Amino acid sequence: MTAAEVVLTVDLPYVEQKGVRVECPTEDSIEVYAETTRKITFKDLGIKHRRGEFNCYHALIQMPVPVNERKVSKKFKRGVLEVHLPRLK
Amino acid sequence: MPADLSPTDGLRIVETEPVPKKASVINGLPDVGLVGLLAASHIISSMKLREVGAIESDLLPPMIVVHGGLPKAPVRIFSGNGLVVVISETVIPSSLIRPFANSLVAWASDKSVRLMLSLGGMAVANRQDIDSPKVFAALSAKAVETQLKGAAEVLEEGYIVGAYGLLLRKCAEASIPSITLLTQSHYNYPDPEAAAAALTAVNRILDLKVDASDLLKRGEELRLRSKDMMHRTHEEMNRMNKSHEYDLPPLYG
Repeated sequence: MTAAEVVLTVDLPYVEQKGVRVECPTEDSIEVYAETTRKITFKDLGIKHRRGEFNCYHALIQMPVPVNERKVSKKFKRGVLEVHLPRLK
Repeated sequence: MPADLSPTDGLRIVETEPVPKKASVINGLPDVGLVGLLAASHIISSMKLREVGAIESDLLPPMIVVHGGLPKAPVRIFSGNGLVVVISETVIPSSLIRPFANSLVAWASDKSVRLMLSLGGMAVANRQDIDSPKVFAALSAKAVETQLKGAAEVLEEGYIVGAYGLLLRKCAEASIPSITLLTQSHYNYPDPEAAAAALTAVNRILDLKVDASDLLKRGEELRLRSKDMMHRTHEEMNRMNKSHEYDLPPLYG
């Protein structure tokens, strides 16, 4: 976080840029959806004694300060999403 | 540390098979970007090193790791081909780091270790824009630079917080040649690419031929599977003020 903006990073393995969606439900929260390129099972993660699977990440993140959701910019490189949110004065 | 503990107390290095003398030791402990743990684990599986011991302590978190259906200590020692690798699958609590460093170096001295190589990460803000993470090296003594074989750039000034810092200094005191490799990486995301860059440096320093391509191929899987370990490591790094490493370098030498 700087005086001018909040920078949010999210590590997203198995995700491509087109699978990422960023929304701002309120001026102090940000919601990230990211679809994985394939279904991931618990077995893929080395868990053999429980069953489960998923194909999307989701997070609702509270911003420490109010941000301008209309001026959000994002970058997705090397599997990491970087979202820049200008702070509201 | 409580007053009634000696410098290495609470920690014992248990060898289940004899560990050879004059070996090179690689440390892969949970650190920035999990670089060391990822690289060391890859070395162990690629070179098919045998499990030869563990570092036990009543002061470590009360937990075991189950691997292949068998109960294992979280901090384990592997060996083969004149190489010894120490990995930890739990975060070593900051209160235990000093005794840990003391006992590991005392053991290394006893074993006449010829080189101790610790693998760590160096967080960079623009990691996403770096195609080839650079490797830096902190040395226990100037003379150790020849053992580096140009594999990394020497770190002249800075701070090293945590086990690797104490290990380096204790090795210097015990005259055990030691190199701490710090590879540019993410701070709190597992970074298999950085681990691959560290591995390239390790290959050069120790004349190994461990293939890093599998680390890169399995990159996304490793990032996902290591995320909980990274999260716990990150919490402990915060507790020991790891961010001190990113302060401006010290004023006086």
